Amino acid sequence: MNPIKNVDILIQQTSNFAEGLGEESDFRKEVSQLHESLHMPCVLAVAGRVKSGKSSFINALMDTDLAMVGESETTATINIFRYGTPNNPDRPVTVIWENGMRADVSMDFMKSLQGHDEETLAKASKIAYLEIKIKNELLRNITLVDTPGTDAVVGKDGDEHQQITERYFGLRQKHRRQTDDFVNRADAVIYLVGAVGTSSNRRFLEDFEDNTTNLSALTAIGILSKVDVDEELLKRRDEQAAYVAQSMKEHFYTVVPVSAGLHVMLNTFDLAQFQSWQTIWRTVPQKAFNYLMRQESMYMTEREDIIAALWKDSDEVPLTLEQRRSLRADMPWSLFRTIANALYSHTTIEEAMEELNAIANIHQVRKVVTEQFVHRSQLIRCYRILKELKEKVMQMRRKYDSDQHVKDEIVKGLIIPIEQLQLNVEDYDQRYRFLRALQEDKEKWEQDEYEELTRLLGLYGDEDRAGLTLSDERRVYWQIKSRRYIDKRMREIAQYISENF
Amino acid sequence: MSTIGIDFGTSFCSASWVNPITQKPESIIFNETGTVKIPSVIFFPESGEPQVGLGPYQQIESCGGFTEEQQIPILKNTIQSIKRKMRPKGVFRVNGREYSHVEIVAFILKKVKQQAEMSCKFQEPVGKLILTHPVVFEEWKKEMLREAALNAGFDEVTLLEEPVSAAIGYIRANQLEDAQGILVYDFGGGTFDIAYVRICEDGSYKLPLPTRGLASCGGDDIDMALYMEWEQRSQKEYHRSICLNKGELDLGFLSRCRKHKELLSNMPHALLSEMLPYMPGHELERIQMDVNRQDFNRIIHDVVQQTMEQTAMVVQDIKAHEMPLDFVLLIGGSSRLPLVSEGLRKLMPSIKICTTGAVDTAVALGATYYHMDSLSQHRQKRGVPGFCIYCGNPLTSLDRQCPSCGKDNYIYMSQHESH
Repeated sequence: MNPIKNVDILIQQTSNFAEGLGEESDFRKEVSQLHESLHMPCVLAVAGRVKSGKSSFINALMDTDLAMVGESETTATINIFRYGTPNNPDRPVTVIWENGMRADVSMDFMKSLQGHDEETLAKASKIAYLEIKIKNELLRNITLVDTPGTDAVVGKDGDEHQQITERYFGLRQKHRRQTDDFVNRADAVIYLVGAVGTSSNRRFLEDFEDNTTNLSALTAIGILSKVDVDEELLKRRDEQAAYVAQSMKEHFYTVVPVSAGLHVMLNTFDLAQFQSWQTIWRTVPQKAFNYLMRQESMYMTEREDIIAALWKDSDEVPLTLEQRRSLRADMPWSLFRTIANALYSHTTIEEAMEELNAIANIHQVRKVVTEQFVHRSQLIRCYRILKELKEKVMQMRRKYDSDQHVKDEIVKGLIIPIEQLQLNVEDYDQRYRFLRALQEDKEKWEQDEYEELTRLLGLYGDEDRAGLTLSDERRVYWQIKSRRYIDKRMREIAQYISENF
Repeated sequence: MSTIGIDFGTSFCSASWVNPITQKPESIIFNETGTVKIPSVIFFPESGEPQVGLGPYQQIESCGGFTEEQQIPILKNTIQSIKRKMRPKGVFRVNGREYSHVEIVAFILKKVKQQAEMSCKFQEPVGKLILTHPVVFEEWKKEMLREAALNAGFDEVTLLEEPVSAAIGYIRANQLEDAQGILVYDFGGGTFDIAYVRICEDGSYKLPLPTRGLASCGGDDIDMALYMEWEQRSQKEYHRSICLNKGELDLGFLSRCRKHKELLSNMPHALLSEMLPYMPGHELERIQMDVNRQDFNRIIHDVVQQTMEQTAMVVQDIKAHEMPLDFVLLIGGSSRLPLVSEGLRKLMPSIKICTTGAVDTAVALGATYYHMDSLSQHRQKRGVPGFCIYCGNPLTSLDRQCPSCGKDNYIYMSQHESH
């Protein structure tokens, strides 16, 4: 469900309808005000350990290369990406200093803040945040906040970064005192985790929750990043994501496995390029392919005798080192291997690209972020706006009390769609509240019940929830429970489950 | 064509008709149940026609003692509380077939119609339906009701808000036509609704203020409050829960609490005694409760208080808009609780509290009064104005002779608009 979009459509329809009826412009003005109040972007912070692939992730998410991806991969400041056009195109970055002063600077200034030397950090510590305005579709609904990496393990520099990140999340109280600038308040957070839910990841989130009052697992998404690094991980990425979600379920709404680097590669080259690579790969015998893919040094081997042996049983001409280098196209080894594997194992380019997109999985993050997540914090707003809209439409209907035709049109064309959307929004919010209740009273449920309920209500719900149904046995089970639980809220949850799945 | 009124309820339906002998609206007593109610429950057997009403209801009630496995074939083919579960384009999958929510509602309305026809001697076939619904019922739900009524074999359907129906029924049955505004307090088995009904000078009924309510607050919560009281005693005396399963209710004991509630509503003082469910290794354990009205009120206070808070908000609205309030009408089974009247008296000391013996059928009965009124209004619209053309004083739609100046009004004039 996309409530914002649907509310918007209804507002537009109401406005058109009113215009058709020749309603005064006042009425339409009020309706268009509803439209504006609907579109306030949410603030989404991206956090993660140093080298967790945060900047690549942000780039992939926005399909730009604005977040700096360097060897050092260290953003020492808080960078806020906002929708808009910069005042000065040559100085697209605004620095907001700790003392409240603002200055427009060039991208080079931002680049100079990459690194973990004392000088950079000292400079960064005087900066409250950087603000970058860009016209990016994603940013229409979300203001993205890139935070410095956190990691207590990497030593001094890491500690410093951790401090800055903590400072950011502590900034909110300070900002509340100093200015009425609430822009930095994060409505939600994306946290990049490694393949295993480590204790340092978990500790970070705990601190994180302590410092932020309105954030809980329901407003945090985990990203299992760089799934391409290891072939084994790549194969079992969904399993790993489920494992991380399971072991950190107090913290994450869902965990999505991604390869941001692969996403960037998929956008760097065009389809024809992938197709030509596939044509070449498809000529390579299985044995040779397996050997070449085993590791980078084997792929780049200069020993022609080995290559000749690999192609021994084949009519095809072996790949020369030059050809292999060209195929590699300067990609990082793990990304190259992932792409080569997909191209080789599928007969058509469409199938191969489908698999690669599934591995990159950035579309899934966007889907979770927008559909299940950002909209959640906008639900209450949607609900209020729908209610106002319905009242306005009812007012309009009353004016046409004697005209049955117009009345029917208003009921069928506007009121019923508004009500149905209200129902969806309520239902969505209901599930959210039940999830929260579930987490608060986790110990009251049996382990398997808890897991079933969280799956149904969508805690790890990045799958399409529309298809979720219960067997007759389970539905009856919950129906019976809905009468038997002593706890009223538990009865309500059981009832909801038995009636809605 | 004969007309019936139906109050389509979450748990039960009731209905009314015009008794041709007395020419007055009456509640229908159904042959099948011997009461004024038909359960809104449907059972789909593996083969054959769906069954509605008492049979499926009794089947559900009696399966509490079965194991879960035994309950599955019954529960999975039974649909209860469709009124609450209605969804746009909603369907139930039963026995490999899909039934739309409209069809389910239609099954129930059809059953009520059939039962009405079997129980009453209508002079003409029943073709017209006045169907009541909650004030807050969305338009799509109303559309579904209309469609279901047509599917059920009615030729014509008029929808009417529940509190309006109750108000009309009470006013007409008790000849209180000079009332200007009444508050309808509807406290049922699972829900609570409070609505202010304004009787306009032209005799029409309006809901000028937002209605309020609680989607899950009713008699069931009162039963639960009593259960929890027993639970406390059980813990104190025997250090055990009533139910043998941790965190669960003993449904048999809960139904005993319903009996206690009825007893305590009628008796200012009662000694209650119950056996706790047998726990292996324990003696038979008996607990007792000596309850006077004060104790009873304390036990159910929190539940009733919620309804009082909602009522207080509507009363505030009435005052803020300087609207007339003649009396409070209590309907719904749980409005029989003595604490309800007590609480309302405290809230509005100067306002009369009206109860009716027919708390369960007030809504259905009103629907038939509404039907009669609309017929007479229809007749009179041609001849009688909303106010006396000689002296200007308001006339009710039923009067021809002006009560103020005594002159007869025959000329049609446009009706008064009032708020």
